[in-house]
Amino acid sequence: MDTITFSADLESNIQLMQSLFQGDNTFVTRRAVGHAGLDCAVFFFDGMVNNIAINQSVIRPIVCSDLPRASADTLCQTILQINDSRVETDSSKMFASFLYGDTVVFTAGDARPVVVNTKGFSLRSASEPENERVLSGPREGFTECFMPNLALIRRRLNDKRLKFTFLRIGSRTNTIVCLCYLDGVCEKKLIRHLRRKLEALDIDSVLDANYLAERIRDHRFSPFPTLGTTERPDVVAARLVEGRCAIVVDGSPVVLTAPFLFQECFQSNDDYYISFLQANLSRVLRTLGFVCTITFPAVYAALLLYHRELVPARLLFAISAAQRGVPLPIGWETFLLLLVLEALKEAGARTPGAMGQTMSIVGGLVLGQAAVSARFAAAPTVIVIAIAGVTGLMAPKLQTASLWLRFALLAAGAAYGLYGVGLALALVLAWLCRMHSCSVPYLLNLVPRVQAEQEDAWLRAPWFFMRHDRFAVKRNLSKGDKP
Amino acid sequence: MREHLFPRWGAALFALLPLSEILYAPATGQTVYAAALASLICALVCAGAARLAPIWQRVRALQWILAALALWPIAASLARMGLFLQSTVFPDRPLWSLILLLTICTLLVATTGLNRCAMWTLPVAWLAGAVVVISGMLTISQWEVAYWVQPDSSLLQETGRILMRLLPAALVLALSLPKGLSSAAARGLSAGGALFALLTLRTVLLLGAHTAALLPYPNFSAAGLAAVGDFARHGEVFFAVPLLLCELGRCAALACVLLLPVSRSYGVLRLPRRADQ
Amino acid sequence: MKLTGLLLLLPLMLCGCAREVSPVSALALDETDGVYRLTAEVVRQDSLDDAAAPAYLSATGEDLPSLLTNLSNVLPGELYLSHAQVLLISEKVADESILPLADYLCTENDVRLSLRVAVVRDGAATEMLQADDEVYALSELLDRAAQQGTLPDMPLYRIAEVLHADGSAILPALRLDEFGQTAPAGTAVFANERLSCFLDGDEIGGDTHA
Repeated sequence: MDTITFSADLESNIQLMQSLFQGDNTFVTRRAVGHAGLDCAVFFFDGMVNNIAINQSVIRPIVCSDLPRASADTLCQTILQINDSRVETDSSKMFASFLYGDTVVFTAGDARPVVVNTKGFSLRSASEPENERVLSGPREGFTECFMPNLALIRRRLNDKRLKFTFLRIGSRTNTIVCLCYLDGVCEKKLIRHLRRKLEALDIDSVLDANYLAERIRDHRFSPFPTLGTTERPDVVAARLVEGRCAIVVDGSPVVLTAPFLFQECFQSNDDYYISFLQANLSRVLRTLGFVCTITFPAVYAALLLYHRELVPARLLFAISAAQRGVPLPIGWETFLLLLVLEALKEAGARTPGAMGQTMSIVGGLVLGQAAVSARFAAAPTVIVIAIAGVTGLMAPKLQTASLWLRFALLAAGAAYGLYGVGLALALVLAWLCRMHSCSVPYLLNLVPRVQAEQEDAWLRAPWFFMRHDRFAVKRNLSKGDKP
Repeated sequence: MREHLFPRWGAALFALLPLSEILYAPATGQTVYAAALASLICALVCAGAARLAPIWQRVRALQWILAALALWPIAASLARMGLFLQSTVFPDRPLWSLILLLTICTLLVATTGLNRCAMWTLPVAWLAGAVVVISGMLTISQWEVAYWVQPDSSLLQETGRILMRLLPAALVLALSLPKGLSSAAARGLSAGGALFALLTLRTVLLLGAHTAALLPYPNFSAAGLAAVGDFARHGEVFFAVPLLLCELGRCAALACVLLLPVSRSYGVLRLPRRADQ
Repeated sequence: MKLTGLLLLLPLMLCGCAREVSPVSALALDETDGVYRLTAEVVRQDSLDDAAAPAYLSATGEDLPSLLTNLSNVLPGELYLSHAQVLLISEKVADESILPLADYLCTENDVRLSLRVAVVRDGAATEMLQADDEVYALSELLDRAAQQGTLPDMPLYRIAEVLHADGSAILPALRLDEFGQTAPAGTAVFANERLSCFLDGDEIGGDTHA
């Protein structure tokens, strides 16, 4: 909003405000006059404010005031009975607060408005995020409301070094974005790097964290995530302790964390709340699940097209029998079934509650069985696709990568057999070696092994072996590290 | 993290060189000793060459010579990989199309630069080593100790033959290394050479020298006898894929050296300069 | 644009090399009047519920390469030898040098080096191959006998090696018993690459260098 200058005349200020918000029926102007003559105008948006706070802490003190006149400073310091009020000289800041649920009070004879924190819009409770459920451990999740989200983080990190730096992004939405970090733990370079990236953004609107994530992440076209996302305050707190930065976006329950390493794709917050024995088994399964989901269809097609000798004889005869009568070559058949799987997933996700489950059952069981009976597809192919689909759910952070790699590897396997699959995987590894997140190698701790950080890489060491004086994210190796 | 070629990556890069010979090496009784001897000689020569590398890298003309020297092993590797694929799985595909595919893969890996390429080789070398060891262990029960042969006069000739294939690539890479990696080169070549020799020994003890001589790729064919129950009875391809990737890594590293004089963005040589800036 | 190009290439790659194959589980080689006859036990399974059933196809020729070519001409799909586990040879075939046969099979890309070769006593190899209706019954019999030591453990790669070394080898021998069933019939002894004699019963077994 352009800079607007107010005058000391209350009437002209009221007219100016009303002309600015003409046509907006939620805009409310309340004239409050004290019994000694104090004349004020109170502006707020209906539905955005806490009415009790306005009545009791703003209007009543003005009406009951003994003063005939008061400056903005007096109004703020002496009359208004509220914990958060300030005299705002910057009109753009004043409007930003006003549009966000604060109340603006003008007093006669002073051009400076008083901004009173009376935000009171309805909020969702901090319930457990649907897609990050845990067996045991904290069950709070972020909501769409900004300040309570920050409070959830601060409640877990009672450290004076915890810093929240606010920025405003989006010329239309003017969204508050907060950069969180632990001063002294997080590298200064990293904070500067992220801040520079955020400040350089020139966009209209930020309605969700992903608006920023896709713009500020490294390797923007890579299907592998280079920026962490979570809806859980405990995860953010853990990442801040490890020396990472978090970005909280107003209006989004998703918090971004950076840098994000490949090893985190296989980690779950559950891992830290259950026995390390169980957690490590889960991690191994997740890793195997990812490998299975991307390679299963490709290996299946490769085996049946080029390497039949590898398939046990009786199994090969059974598969050949099942394939008889299917109109499409194996590569195409697998490809189309993968597409059907994705379509079913999409339909299930977009269909409301109970109907979604029905969709999955009808799609998965009935269609699958019917397709096999009608010889549209062979039963072994359906099994392979089902395994790929199920294992694909084990590493949710890699779902995009799984989706694309499944198709790419299938094409490689159908064209060049297991050699093609091997070469394609080698290229993926080369790509991963090349990647970085905020200048930290993406495969840190996995290939460039940092000796100090092995406690929580592929596997998690028991808590009694963990050293808390070392942090996972460092751009430069210290003396004790032996890569 | 600083751009740095760590010794472990360097060792893995050099371990790939003998490992990538496994697929194509004959398996006469003498090859066992020749593989070990050639790798040892290579390790010594490369350890020396890696010490000379900083001097060598200062002169641009010498870099061009290195690039020219890298051309031959790259071409030879691509050709033999293409021939291998054609004669084992893709008899109907034209050779040029297979070589083209391998060249594209090589270039894609090479564009990551020598550092990242060396980083890439670490998991690949581990995978290949593991596959080679597992393949050997699965066939132990079928070994015939009677097939073992003593070294004889043809050993030197066989060693020379392996050196001809191994040394040029190793030397070119050693002369492109940053400082302080001579021992890594020696370690990598020794470890790779040991696996090469052991696997050839496995082939000889399993197939015998006469049968092995009949086969175009004896180590590859012998791997087909390693089975887990009824599964993967003809599982040479599981053995061949990691070794083919080793050769791809070797080609990619050599391609980095090849591109070094024309583009500073490839390889480790740019890093000290950048640091100076 | 690059991505679109790649996506257009994808369907072409998916076609792969789809081909119909006729998997062979066992082979039998006979000779009559200088003409060789190769019979293949081709496995066919029409549906998942059926059991794999053998079908027998034969071809004649003058040497093994021509036999394989002729056989592939009569098969409905591509001759696929990778799952062949047994080669039966008649006494007449064994009376000639078997080294070229072993060498040829070793160099044939599709044939497994672990293929078991057995000599059929007192009858035609084709007859024995057709005697059993069950797929892989012969190879299971030979595997079991080799494990128990009642018949020599001589896969193809070992035969080639020992024949190259000194021309002598031992191979398992089989015969059809009085009930028409396949039964172990001792050991066939080869000298100078040719069948020399049979050793009956448990006189020999297991040790390849006996």
